[in-house]
Amino acid sequence: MNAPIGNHLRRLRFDHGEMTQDALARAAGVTRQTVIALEAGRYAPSLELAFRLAHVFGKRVDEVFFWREDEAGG
Amino acid sequence: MRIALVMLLSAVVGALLAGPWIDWPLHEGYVGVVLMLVAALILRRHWQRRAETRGDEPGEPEREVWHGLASTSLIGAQIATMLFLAGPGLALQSPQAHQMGRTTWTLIAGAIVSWFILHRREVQRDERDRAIVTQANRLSGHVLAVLIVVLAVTLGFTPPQRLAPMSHVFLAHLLLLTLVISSLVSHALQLWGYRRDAQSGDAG
Repeated sequence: MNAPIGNHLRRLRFDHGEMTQDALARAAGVTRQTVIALEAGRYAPSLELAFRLAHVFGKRVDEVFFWREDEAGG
Repeated sequence: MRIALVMLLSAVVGALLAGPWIDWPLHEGYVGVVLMLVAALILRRHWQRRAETRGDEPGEPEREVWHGLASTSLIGAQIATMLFLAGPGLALQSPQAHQMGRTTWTLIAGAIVSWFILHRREVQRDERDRAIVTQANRLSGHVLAVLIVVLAVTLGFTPPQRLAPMSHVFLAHLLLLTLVISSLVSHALQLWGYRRDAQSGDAG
């Protein structure tokens, strides 16, 4: 089952010079496995991690993450 | 499926090491250590290959859990089998208890060495790992509580004449086994949590 929070991490990585998952993980201070889970929509990050990931790309949190109505059932 | 298989295989090895069914060429504790080290070396190579080809190798925390599941299962089964074979009258100063202790402590040493084989330097644990551990430990805590209550009630309602043959060493090991079972539940749930999150990604 997917998390109710979606994201544009994969697209943002490619837009940022084809940044690797490993590089993003290091920049955000998480494991590469967590980046994989996030991109697959299987893990909803904490608010702090969401801010850190957005900060890596110089974006606002709402430009990176979005609410998935279908998954949330709302 | 893989989780159950690893748990079952490790338990079978632990039971075989404890039982009289196989005439091992070495002390069974050393046989267990050799098996653990070989398994750790094979696994390290397998994960290394996965990292290079598919990029979906388990992270450091998940590796530790796999190791914990296999070693706890093996040592737990070894203790349980030896306890079952020795019977409730197991005395502390007996050849059986000494044999059991020597094998168990040798296996624990083997588990520590094999952990160092699987261990990589950059240990990183993030919020997802902590969430998985917390969730698993909450459930395994409930399992432990239930086991302790069941054991306490059973012992409390067992007539004294049936309790009399049980030595304090036997009862102490029964308590130890509740911890082993709870630990196995925790490891299995953590691995299930990682499996739920698993998704093949690019190798970047």
